[in-house]
Amino acid sequence: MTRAALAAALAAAVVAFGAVGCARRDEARGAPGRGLPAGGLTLSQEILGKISARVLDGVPQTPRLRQARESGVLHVALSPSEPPFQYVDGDTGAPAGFNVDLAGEIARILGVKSNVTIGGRDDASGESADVYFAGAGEDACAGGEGTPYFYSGRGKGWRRICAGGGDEGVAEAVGRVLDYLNETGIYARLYRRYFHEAGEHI
Amino acid sequence: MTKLLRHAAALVVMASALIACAEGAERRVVVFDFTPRQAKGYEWVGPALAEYVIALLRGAEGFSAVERAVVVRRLARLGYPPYTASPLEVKDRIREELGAGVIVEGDYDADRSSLRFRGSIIDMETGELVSNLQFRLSPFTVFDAQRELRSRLEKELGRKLKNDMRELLGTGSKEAYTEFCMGRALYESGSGAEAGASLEKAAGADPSYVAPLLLLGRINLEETRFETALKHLQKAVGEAPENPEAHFLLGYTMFFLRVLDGAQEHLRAAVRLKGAEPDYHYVSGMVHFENGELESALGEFRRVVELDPGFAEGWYKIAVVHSHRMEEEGVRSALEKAIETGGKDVQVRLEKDRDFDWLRDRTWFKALMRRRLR
Repeated sequence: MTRAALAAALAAAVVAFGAVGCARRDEARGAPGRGLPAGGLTLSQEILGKISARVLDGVPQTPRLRQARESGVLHVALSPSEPPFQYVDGDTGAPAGFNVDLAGEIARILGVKSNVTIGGRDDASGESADVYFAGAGEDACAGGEGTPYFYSGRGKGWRRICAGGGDEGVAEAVGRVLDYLNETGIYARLYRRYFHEAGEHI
Repeated sequence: MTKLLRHAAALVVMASALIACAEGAERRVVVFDFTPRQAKGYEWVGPALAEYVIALLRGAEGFSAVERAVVVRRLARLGYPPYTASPLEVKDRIREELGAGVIVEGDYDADRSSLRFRGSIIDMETGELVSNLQFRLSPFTVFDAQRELRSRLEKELGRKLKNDMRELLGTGSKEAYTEFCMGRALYESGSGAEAGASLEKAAGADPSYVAPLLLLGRINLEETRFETALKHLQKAVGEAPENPEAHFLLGYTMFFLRVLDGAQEHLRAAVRLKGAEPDYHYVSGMVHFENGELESALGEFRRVVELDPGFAEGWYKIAVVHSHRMEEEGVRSALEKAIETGGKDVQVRLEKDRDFDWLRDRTWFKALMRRRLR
């Protein structure tokens, strides 16, 4: 094909795709078009996916962990209200507190949303929660030791995060996220937010 | 006669461009990375040429070209990571999803003495090969190849294209650009740790060059070295306060660090600079949501789905906010859209999500859950 013919073809194509390949100027910049379900099609999803893969590398994909990730929801049960660990925010009516934020961090790295129930501890030991928080001095986690995350200096011992049904994958994932939170200083930030400012000591 | 024909064709192109671009419409093009065939050690050249074509088209009146990152992400999601060949039908699918009419694609062989480049411009609507962009350079540099591409595009389009390296590529330093391209290729091939050295050299060669700073920030963010990521990204924002991605990445890093006020400040800047990017609004909405600012969160999630009605996660988040406010009709309409765009994945999630427990006995909710979806 000669260059002139190519140019003519281009001209024809320009006219042809003028109808179908045009976008309004305001749509043209980075508009990703239709069909953007969750899962790696945006920059934020891609980055979160890589962080998640890094933190959870090698964690066994047990049925419970897989189900939580596939369903996009992590059920978290907490003991009854015990500020600043967990309480209902008076303004928003939503669960709040150190444990609620910690649960949110675990869910974030798993790539899911946390559903927190305050006072759902009994429900948790009844196996329906994926993760439950055991207070210091409470019975050990059912089906496992749980991951210690907070030592009470009042002599009550360790608070623990337990995996529902003692699930090995969930337990390992929780441990990994807690390591990540410690290494990155996020745990310390959360701690300062809820305890240091409140004059609490452990 | 040939010369006359060429001029006539150029006039037709320009005239049609004017017609096509009336009322702000643009011809949208997807440029795929040129695939290295026999090019060991020169894998970085393909993206360098692709991004150059994108920059040329973005600078040309009447054209828009999809950002390289968007194309690369979509290919990877379909199982074609960077630097691997993908079939034309996959490219056509991506083109269609992105609402474009034309693709530019190709491959090349390269070694220390020569570059053999084979590129095409294809109108996928008609299946017509609009142009061959084939050439051989011996010896070559990436800048020679870019110049050759520009010259061929200028001839095909019948007009001059921009030719300012800093404007097109973000730096006027050949050393900085080459090091950046090498570092990017290492990162995109899964060697993030090795990419750092090249990117640091690029940033050193031209401290005002933002691209290596952004990639250094992103690599450190993904490696959860948040403080180091912050350092690079703060520098990027300092160098380029009008760069939306710099603000976005800085805000996103702060979000991970739970510095929510700082995160919101930079996400606001990103949104101000590039308001048509749904992802920026989405993350901004998440920060508002976690701060308990439901009204602001709702506003951001609504903007997400205005910009991209197929963003299922945006609809889902709208439903969650309405649910927190016990607004049944809002939940209902948003969930309809979430299911319409997200399909069965959304249904599976709804089964378990206790935010919607208060609605489970409603007839409409049961019907939604019973709906047969793919």
